[in-house]
Amino acid sequence: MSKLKNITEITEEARQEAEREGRRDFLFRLAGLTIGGVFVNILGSGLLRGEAEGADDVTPTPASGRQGQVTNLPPKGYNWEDHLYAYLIDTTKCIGCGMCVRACKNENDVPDGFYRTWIEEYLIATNDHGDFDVQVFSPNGGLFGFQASQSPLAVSKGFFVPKMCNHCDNTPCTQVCPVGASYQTKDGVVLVDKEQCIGCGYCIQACPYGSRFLDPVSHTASKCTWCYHRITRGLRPACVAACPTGTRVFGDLKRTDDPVLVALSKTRVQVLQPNLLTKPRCYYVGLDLEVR
Amino acid sequence: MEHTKHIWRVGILVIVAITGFVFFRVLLIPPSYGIRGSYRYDNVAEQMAIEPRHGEVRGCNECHDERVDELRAGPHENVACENCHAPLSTHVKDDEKEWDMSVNKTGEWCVRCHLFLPARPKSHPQIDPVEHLVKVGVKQVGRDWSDVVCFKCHEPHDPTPEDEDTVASGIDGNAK
Amino acid sequence: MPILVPEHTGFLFPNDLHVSWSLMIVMYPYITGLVAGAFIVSSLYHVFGSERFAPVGRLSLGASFCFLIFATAPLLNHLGHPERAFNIMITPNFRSAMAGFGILYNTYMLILALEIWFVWRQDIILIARHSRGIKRQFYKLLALGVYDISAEALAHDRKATRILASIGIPAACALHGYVGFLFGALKSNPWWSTPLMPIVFLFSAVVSGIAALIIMYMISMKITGRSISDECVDGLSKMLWAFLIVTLTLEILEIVTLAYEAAEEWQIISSLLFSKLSLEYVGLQMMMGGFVPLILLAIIVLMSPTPPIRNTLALISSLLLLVQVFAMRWNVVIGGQLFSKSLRGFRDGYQPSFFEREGVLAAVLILLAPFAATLVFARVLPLFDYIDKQAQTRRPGPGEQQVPLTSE
Repeated sequence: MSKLKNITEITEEARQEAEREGRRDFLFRLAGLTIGGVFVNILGSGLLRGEAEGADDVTPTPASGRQGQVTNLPPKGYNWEDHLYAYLIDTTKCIGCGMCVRACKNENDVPDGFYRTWIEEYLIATNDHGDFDVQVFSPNGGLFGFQASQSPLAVSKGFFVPKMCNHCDNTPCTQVCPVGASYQTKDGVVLVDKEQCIGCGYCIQACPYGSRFLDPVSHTASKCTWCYHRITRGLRPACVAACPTGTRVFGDLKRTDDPVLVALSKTRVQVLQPNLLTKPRCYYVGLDLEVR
Repeated sequence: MEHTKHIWRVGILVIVAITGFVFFRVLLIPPSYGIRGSYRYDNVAEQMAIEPRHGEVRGCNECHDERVDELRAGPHENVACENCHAPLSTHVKDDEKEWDMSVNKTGEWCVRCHLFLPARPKSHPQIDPVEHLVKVGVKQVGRDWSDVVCFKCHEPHDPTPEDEDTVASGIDGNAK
Repeated sequence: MPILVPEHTGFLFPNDLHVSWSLMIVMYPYITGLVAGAFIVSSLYHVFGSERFAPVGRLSLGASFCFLIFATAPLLNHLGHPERAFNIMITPNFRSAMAGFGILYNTYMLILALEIWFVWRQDIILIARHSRGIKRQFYKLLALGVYDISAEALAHDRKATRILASIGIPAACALHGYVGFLFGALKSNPWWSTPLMPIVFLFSAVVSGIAALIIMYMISMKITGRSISDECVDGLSKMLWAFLIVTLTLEILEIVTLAYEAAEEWQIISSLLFSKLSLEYVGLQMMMGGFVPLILLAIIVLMSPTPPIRNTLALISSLLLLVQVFAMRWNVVIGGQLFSKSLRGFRDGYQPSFFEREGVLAAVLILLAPFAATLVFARVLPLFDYIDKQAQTRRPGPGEQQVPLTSE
């Protein structure tokens, strides 16, 4: 084991050096031809996950000319080791306007009929059996807001619950991705690489929250990114920016004055389906037991 | 061992095939794959490089600071400009105005937040539109909310009506 | 409001309106199941030397190989990006159960191909000796240029076959148990998430494999005008009966346990099985496909009917069991997607249309392809004739050039 790790590190160093000299592809591949390199590549890429501890380059640098439509690059100084994002949803404040769903769709070109975030409307009424009738609605995910209820129930309790990817720390979805197309960043965001995804749909089945879908245009898995392109520029996710009531709060747990950190340390919070131990980094305030 | 030549031959074939696969596999691994884990590290930068479309208030503030201040002073202080207007990217290109900004002034848009719904927090101002219009004495416009009817009393950047009586009779914070 | 919402009842998470694992993902465990089942029968002959299975010894190997070739077809047809399919071997993420597919599949393919080579090597050489032109070159290539069929060499072949077949049994179990694991290891879906899943998959795979073998054996005997071996059909039927008992027991135990626990998920699973999937589950999987063959096979085993009656009963139960196993795959794969992870609602069924990419036509073609491939296989490597007998008694025809290919 230790020997393998050494080889990994050595190869990693050689690779980075080669990268600096601008001959990386050639040298990397040459190195890969040696038996050791081959061995490390097979094991290192998957089992050992070849992470180099002492790597100096912590800022992801954009790949050259891979995505033509990209113009404006994120700030150079972004270091993902300095952040750990978290999200707080105060369901007691949500008015179900659906501005977040709309903003998300506009920001991320979410295809019709699929949702990176959505709102659920819960209407609960007592019945004759001393029990409760529960009705849940999410017409178009709340994209067009909610109409006056058609429910015959005499509603005694009602609330809205915004949902989205929970960016779990113990992600069932990245765990099952067979090709490493889905991964977790150091700053705590779960992303999908649409250049790498084969569109098998396993992650969609593995997500207990229904947060993922198969994009009908790119034929790859797609999901909420917490607007990774925005948060790395210091902007808030589009849904948070659009929220008029402060239901949605975005935070960075590595900042001491962070609103989410303060809320987590001072108020009682919950996560969705905690029994699955996915360790969501999306926290809820005022969640009802009917919400799953 | 005699008579095992064919076994050697097929064995070598298998070894050649496996080695060949391992060799070609290495050539096909994307350059940045595996640097930080089992994923393509370049993708992080690709994700970061996507251009934001919503500018948030700081985008609007660049040119429309007095409108923003006006909004900030009233009860709509937390409503994002881009909710009723459109995302910044439909208006500005390279820091210059490129297209006219659109705005949604319909009553339909207002009731999206202010329609009475049993699931809405009671503290949030909400109305039954028909009832509300009757109460404040605005002529019934039927079911068509595309009209700018709400603007007759409410200025969206500072929506509290000037006439205090209207407030008392119109909006019921604890509706129904 | 332009967005079309599929029919459903209750509340579904908005992204759960879509069945993302289609008919193709039903086909995939079905076909791999046939592979595993057929291979296990062949091993009974090649490893344990059960002579009664000699008549299907070669057929089972050949069929297993042909099914294995097409096991990936439904997957490729399902992938959003089939051209990236090799990513699963180029950049595997070994934390994923699915990443093992490349290794398991190829290992198994290798074992099977080698075993076939050793079993048929003598035939390959004899055919090469008795043919000319391109055909001769082709068989020479298949023989890898070594033409040693001395008794010692053949003894080595038998030994190699035995070793490969005995490695093959755990490999076949792994390949199919792994398919069950893909479903069983998802904690997000209460209908899939059970440790029993791989075992149920494995046993029903063996059932479907034996059933397919009985059908293929009977049909090929009919086509080639040979007589059906009583011993063989009898043995296969008994084995089928035994495996069916285990399979049904497991399938029922799974449901009984869930019902008795009556945890959160039972509410949705019970209405899934007994109302949404009542035809597929109660009707096809349990009654028509399960209990009827169980009784028919019991008649064969317990009452020793005359060969024609026995053959008919075996054929009918095999056909029913192919339906049963397909229904089981359907109920697992599609059933698991009919309810939302909100556990509050259902889609109104899933009917693949006929012509779409992942539709019925594609599924039928993919299912027929291995049978067609088996016919081709039989033309290249004989499934029933023992060529040494045939070749040694047969005189070369007028156009045939008999040049000895001897051991070098």
